[in-house]
Amino acid sequence: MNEEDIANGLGQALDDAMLGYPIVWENRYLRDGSGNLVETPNKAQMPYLVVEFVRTSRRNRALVGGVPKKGSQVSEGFMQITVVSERDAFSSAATGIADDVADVFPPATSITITGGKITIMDFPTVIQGFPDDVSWRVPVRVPYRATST
Amino acid sequence: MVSTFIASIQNFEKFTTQNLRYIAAESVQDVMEHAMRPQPSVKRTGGTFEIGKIPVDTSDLIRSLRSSVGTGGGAMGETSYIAVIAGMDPHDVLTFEWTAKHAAPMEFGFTTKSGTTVPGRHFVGANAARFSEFVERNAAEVRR
Repeated sequence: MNEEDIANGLGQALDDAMLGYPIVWENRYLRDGSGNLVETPNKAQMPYLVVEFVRTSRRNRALVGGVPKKGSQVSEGFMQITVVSERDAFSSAATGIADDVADVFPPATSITITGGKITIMDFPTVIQGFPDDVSWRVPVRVPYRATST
Repeated sequence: MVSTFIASIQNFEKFTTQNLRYIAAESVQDVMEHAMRPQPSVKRTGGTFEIGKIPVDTSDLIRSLRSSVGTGGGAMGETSYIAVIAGMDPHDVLTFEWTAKHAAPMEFGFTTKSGTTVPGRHFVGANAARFSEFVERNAAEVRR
């Protein structure tokens, strides 16, 4: 189990939910329905989702004086999925999409990955939206804990 | 996202009130000290940055911290959290707000006018998520 496995597992769960919005993965640009690069997103592409992974802790409990054992490697963090929508539009639509995103990851959800499993530790948090230069953004944070098997 | 204070401490009933207060105060302090670790802005680094540290360009963001207890008005400034934590009790509700207009875009990420997606620095979220870890460590210190 490594960080790539964790990111792939969580990302696949989001993709499998088929929410119907384009997803901008880490270090990737937005693409339109035909897979063409959209260098400057505008209203026509919105709403879309931006995914980030924030790793907060990675440790191996077996190294604390013990022998290697099941579940000894633990990685924690959160996946942030931001709903990016039009500015100067009612915010309820973006918040509704954020709620749909949160519903993909109910607490105690377990996702099997190579060499381990991911558990969603709590209800995802839908954060108060805010504007940037070109959009209205509503982040959703999904706390996870991955353990090796 | 963050476990409650009591849930983070094994056998919490064995700790004195004084010890619980110490663990709570030190753990909140740990979160805040990590959140307030500065890093140069991308203007100076050429675009690289670290997750979990607060970016400093004009210092507007780091100085915009408002720290308060309960419904009090609180104190402003980058070290305002120290006095608030020093006077806290475990049942208090502490609030820390970064009031600069660009605080949310820096924390959660944003899109520039040219359309570039900029990831968040997560200087609050990445450290708040470690609260349980800080509590465990401080509780272990008290047990010794």
